[in-house]
Amino acid sequence: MESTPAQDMQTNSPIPPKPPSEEGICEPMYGGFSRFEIELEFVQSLANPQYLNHLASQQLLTQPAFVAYLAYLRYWSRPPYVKYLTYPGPTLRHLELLQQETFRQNIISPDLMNQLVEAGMKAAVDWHRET
Amino acid sequence: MDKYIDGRFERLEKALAVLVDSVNKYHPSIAHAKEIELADSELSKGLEDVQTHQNNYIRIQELRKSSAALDSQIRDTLSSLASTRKDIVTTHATTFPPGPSYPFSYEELLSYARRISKTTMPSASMIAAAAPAAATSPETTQTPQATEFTGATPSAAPTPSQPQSPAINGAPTPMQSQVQPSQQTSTLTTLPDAYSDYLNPLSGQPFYPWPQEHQIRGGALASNQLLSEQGIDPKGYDPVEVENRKQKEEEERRAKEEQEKQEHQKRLEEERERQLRQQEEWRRNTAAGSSPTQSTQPNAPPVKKQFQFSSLDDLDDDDDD
Repeated sequence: MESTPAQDMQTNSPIPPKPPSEEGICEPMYGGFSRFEIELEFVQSLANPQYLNHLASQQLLTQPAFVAYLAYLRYWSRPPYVKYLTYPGPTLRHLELLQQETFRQNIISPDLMNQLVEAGMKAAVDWHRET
Repeated sequence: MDKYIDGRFERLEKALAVLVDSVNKYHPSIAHAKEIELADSELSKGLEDVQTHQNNYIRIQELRKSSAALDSQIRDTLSSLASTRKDIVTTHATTFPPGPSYPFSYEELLSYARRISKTTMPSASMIAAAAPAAATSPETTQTPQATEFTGATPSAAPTPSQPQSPAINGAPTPMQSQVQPSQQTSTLTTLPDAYSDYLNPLSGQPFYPWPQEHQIRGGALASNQLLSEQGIDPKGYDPVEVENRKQKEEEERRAKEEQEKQEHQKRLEEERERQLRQQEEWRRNTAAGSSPTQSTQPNAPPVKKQFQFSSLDDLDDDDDD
């Protein structure tokens, strides 16, 4: 998990990228991928607790620019973007948790990471059992 | 009412008695007769009153009855109203979370549900296996619930490092396969592994409700990271396009080579043709100069014959000369 979001992504305007549509969108591509694809991938990677731990270990979660980027990524919790998340539960939960400074500080601890793993697994199973 | 009508009767009887008495005494009087007539009319009026009274009484009875019925109806309605109200109060209404709500279409929701079912839904056996685990004892909450949830094979193989609750079933992953194969406590009727693997290729794979490390490593961000490590700015750089361009160039180069080759071939052929023509010309020239050595030309046999004939003719001509 060495991949980290390109820094130039953070300096982009706070307007979320347009979701894919029928008509072609002319916007710059990054290594052959659109901003929409890259941001979708990154926000879903946040669902993985180990990735969060990795980001914390890279000192990324303390950078103001990165925190602003996390705040910007909250557009994924709204339509029309939310329907593109294939891991909606953990993704949005971790995205909200990442808005808290204490969480950003604490996720470097492996204990919290393991707790998140456990809770995520339990939630996935329990939710389906109850319904 | 009885007293009222009794009084009338008494008055009539008394008047009648007085009249009879007076008739008995042979001394009837008009006054007595008048009196009896009055009493009689009074009595009939009284009887009419009685009739009205009776009618009224019946009516009162009826009204009472209907009022009682209405009362009971009101009571029933009220009690049902109260019970309904209680039901309504105790009914659990859907509590919408605070915050904005957005409209969506039914089709959209269904297609989304279908799309995320693979990434959010653990296998059925896993859910079934987790049910007794949650129900057993509080100690299950202390043990790490799910480090390796796996699919349909109902065998238990706890990891050595993290003691799981025994009720959680987990198929041995490649890492765990050497650990405790004796713990298989399968009592369910299951298909042989080969069949179930064939029917559900995802069975036996661990389930995680988030993307895995290898997926993140194989994604767009990782490839961009790789590009920037190579010193290429990923913005505006499309490896596919570059690859396509390379391929195109390669194709063009190959086409060019092919063309050159063809041209070369063509040139060679032309050269040969030219040589042939030259030879023929030379032969004709030499034949005109009556040279018998013409037959040594490296030509095809039928052509050779022709040449022989011609050379013979030539010879004949020569002989004639």
